[in-house]
Amino acid sequence: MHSAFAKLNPRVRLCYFLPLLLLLAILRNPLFLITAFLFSVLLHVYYDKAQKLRKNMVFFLLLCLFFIICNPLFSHRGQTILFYLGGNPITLESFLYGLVSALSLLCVCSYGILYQVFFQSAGLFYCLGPYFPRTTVSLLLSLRFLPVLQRRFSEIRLLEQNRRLPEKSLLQKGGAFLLSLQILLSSSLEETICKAQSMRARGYGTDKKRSFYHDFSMHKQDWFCLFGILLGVFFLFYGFYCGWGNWQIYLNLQSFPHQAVDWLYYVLFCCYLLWPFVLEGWEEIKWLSCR
Amino acid sequence: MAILSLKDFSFTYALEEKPVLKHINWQVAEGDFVLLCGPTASGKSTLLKNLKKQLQPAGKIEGQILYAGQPLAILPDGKAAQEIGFVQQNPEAQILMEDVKQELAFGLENACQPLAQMHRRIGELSNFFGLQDKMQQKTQHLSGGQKQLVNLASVLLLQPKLLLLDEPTAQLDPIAAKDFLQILKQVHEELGITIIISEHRWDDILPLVQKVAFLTDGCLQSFASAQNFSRFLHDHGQFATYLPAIPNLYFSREKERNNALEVVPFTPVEGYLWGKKKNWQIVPLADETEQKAAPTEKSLLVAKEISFRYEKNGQDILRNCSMALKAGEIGVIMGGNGAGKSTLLKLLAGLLPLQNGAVMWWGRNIRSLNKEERITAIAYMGQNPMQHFVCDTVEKELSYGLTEQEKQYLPHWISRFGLQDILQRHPYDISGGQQQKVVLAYLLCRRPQLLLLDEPGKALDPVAKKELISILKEVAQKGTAILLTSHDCEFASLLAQKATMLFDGCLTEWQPMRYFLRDNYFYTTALAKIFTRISQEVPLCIEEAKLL
Repeated sequence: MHSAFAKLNPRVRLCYFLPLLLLLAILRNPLFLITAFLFSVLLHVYYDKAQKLRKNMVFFLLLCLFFIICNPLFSHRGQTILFYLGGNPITLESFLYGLVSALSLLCVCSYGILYQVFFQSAGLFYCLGPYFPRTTVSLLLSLRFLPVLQRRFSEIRLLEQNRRLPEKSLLQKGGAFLLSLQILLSSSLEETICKAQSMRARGYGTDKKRSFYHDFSMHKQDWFCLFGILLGVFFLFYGFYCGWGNWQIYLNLQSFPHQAVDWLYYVLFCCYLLWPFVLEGWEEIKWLSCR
Repeated sequence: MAILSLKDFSFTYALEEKPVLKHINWQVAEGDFVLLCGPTASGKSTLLKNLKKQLQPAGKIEGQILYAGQPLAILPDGKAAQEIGFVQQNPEAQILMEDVKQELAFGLENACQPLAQMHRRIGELSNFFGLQDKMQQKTQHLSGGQKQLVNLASVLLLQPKLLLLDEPTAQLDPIAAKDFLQILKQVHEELGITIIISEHRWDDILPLVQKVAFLTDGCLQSFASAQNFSRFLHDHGQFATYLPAIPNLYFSREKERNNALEVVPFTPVEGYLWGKKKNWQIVPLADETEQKAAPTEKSLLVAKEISFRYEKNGQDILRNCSMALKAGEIGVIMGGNGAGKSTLLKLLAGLLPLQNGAVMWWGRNIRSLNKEERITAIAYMGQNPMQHFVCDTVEKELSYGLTEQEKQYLPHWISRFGLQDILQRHPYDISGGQQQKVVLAYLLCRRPQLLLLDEPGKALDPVAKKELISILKEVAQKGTAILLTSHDCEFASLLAQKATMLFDGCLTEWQPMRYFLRDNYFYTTALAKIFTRISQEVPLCIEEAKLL
């Protein structure tokens, strides 16, 4: 991926994403969450034409709907009763809390996918490689094996259409499915032996130490960004700790926070979200000025 | 100086009684390029694995293997991993990492090489292999040939002194296989690495190697230059079948041979020049139409403008492909790795849903057949026979899912394919060639009207191929139509009546095999390459070449 943000050291990117995911999981302010979601969509569009987001969006929306419906059904906290359902009160607070929680979930999922867009497997190397070299390689190999298993399983299911199997009743169908799993496991184990041989043939396990064909060093721009990110993270969590921008829903619904400090916190939050765009903009200016 | 010496070396697998390798005495000089060949299950892979310390199978070893004058057993693990490289048959099974860069670096990382050195070595070698533009590419998106090149490059990055290759081109299309062997030749000539390669297809490799080791039933029968090896095969009648087409043609024209000192031709150009020198008179062959078994008029299978892609927004794998097959006909689809041949067979078998077009079975849409009708009529064998197996012995496997009536044919096919001795073995413990035979025997018991075979000749030695060809021809004569995909032009030319090529998602025009071979540069046989330069007559087999 050719972008200024993607070129940053993966550890710096991790420092940006992890606190953000944590904050989005605990923030309960719809304005903040909607803003965060909109920014995440913009980032998706900018970096991968929202391909990954579009693939998963339906699932996320269903999950959110599930939250919005289930929270008022199972939680009856709150003082503003809207109506009764089967003798249980449905409160405005629990409905709003469900809505805000769904928004929070949507944001976490959206930024989670964005994290995948940037990191893929190489990110694991950077973050774990220097400390746990062999575990990292094993983890990487296992991760790569998952889609291979998926492909092979569909191939095996396909071949079973070419063979008479007892699959009239549900039990027999279950048996046929287990048979496919059995073929998958045994043929995969067979191939794993080939993979293990390939690893041993190239010296895996002959030495406890391993080196990595990756540049782990931090450059000037990485340090500069890391400083900015850590500063932002500090203020964001300090603000959260002080209760800035916090909208109390339970037990009784409070008015929406609108003090100057809340708006200032909102601006700071937006600046943090905007950080990748600032970097891309700066890169664009540098490109144009050198031309 | 010998880089490798085997002194009275024997090997017996654990829990087995019979040795796989018997009293082998063999010396390979430094810088040699050696072809290790022999029939299926002669012990080639076992021998190669014994030469690579990390891959030595569990079993009883007698005698000694010396590497650079030292016993291989005492060679430090790290040194053994770096100095003896190993490339296996299946390109996909060896690849470990997600992208090409990580894959190339894997061995260097294990050897704990510093970043700067890795960078320099990878930079240099990726240019030599033409992989510089593919460093960020996902390994799963590479073609079979590219994957095998990445495997070779990844091993060469460790700067080995001895390179062992176990049938590296077995799964590659003819062009990718030629490219791979040419790169190997270049590696040998420019880097001076000693190479031992085992292969089933010898036509392309014989002109490149300096020596040939011939193994049968675990014994080293001959270790000589390629010239002397071909004379050895000719002189020992029982091995004559293993002679590649061009030397075979040379030896078959006894009257035209001068003396034992004459150079045996190996390449099509050498064969052509020899033929020209002898002033061959070409007699026209009988007309193609006369040789064909008369098929019934109506086609049993018709594909009408079928198109297919795996992902909604992905590229079309097949575009408007049309074809027809009559009862008793044998057709072959050729094409590069990843061209879509296997996908086409699955579509014709009714295993994959069509996005456009239709496949008609005796005039009925194939999707309208129920599973029982489809299974009775059409049999499909995939590329990986292991994915067919569900039982723990060959015997159970053969009868699984067959009706009582179909089971009556089992003894016939068991004896026809020579499976009697392996009935009680696990299907995973038999060779690749035997696995194919088991699947074929099972499918033929169903007496299908159409047999779809994906790469059936793979992993078979020349004798086993000849046997398979005769069985399939026999089946076709009884009215079963056979459609196969193959990378092996020699095999296809002896079996099929008509051929086509799948390229860019489309099928080219179906042609009688003879004309297909005549029109191609690479998807053709060694004999065709010689005779198309002399005349328009193309012999399909050595017997026809003798006639000419």
